[in-house]
Amino acid sequence: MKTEEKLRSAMHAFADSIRPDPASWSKIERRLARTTAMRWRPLVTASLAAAAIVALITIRFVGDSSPRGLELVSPTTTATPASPSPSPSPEPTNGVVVRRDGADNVLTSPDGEWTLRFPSSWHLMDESPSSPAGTASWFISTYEMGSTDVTDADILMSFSIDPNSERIATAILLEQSCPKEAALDVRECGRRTIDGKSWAYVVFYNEADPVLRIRAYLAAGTRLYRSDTQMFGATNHADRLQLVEEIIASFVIEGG
Amino acid sequence: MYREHYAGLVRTVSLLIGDVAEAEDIVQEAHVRLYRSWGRIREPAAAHGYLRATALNLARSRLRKVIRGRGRHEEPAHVPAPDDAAIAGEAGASVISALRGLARRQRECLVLRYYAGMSDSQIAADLGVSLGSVKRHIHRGLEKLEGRLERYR
Repeated sequence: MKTEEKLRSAMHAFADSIRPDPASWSKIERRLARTTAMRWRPLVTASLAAAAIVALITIRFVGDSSPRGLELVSPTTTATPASPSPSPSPEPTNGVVVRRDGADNVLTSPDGEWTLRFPSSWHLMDESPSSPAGTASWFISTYEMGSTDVTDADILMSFSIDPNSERIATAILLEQSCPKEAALDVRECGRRTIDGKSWAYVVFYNEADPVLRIRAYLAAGTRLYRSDTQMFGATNHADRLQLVEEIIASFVIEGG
Repeated sequence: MYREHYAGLVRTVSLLIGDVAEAEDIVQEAHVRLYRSWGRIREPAAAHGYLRATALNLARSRLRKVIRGRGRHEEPAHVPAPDDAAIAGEAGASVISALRGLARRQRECLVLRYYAGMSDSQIAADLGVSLGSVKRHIHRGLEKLEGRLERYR
């Protein structure tokens, strides 16, 4: 017998007796299901990631479509304004309706009695939780969000809203111009023109931490009044309110 | 496809790698790959060739892994399992053992030619080698096989 025939015969004798596993088809099906799932997994993961990115972009876009430059900062964040975490919201906050009008942010009181307009490049922070009980306080600054250098801050205005009267109870315009004095005090007050508008302002000096000290000062609701008194010579609450309204009147453009 | 070719492919691959369970695993994987590639196969008639070539490739890869796992550069001469002798008879077991001791390409060409009944050109196409190379592997494989069987006598 030739080698080829021996080989053929031996191979058939060996291999033809092999009986495949009867469950082999179901094994193929299981394997196919498993590998198909594995093949789709990266696609599913990629799709979810893409959806998440789109959602984030959408959220960002919606945030940008609300008053630009408007930053509503949580109480803990307002305590460290050097690194605030903005959470833009187009919703009414603390009774103040915030909206965007062209290049400006516009704040409107709940009763629509007054409206405050300021450039959208400025930041609005809600600091009401740290304010005197029941008083919603607002703080507007031009410092760059995310800046770690508080001395960069231009504090332009802070005001509080008395929830009982829904009127602005105190308002003050601050301008950064901190010389080397350490004392936290009003050093300058007056009016100045910004973007063609007349603003009342006061300047607080505090080399160490002007923003924090001033914010604490405002939140305490005590020295602010005293400073108001000092500043404007008002001796009673009615006078202070009158002064505040005068200040507000200098920068309220619409209504009130 | 499965009904027609599964058993035959398992047997062919078993001859190549010497392990029926492994052969089943390889042929099952080849079926899965065929299914996944079905859209790329132009002619249904070509599916069997694709399936067989995939199984052969997988068998080759499996053998390489086994050899690497053993840390050896040459394929081990097959020691016939006790069942082999019972199945093929003593003479047949010697032939199978000698076959598994051949170089991989020679073994592939002999199995495909004398067990699967493929033509040299089909083998060349499946293995991705030239026709002359297939003829040479078959010729040398048979020579070596003959020499080894002589030594078994």
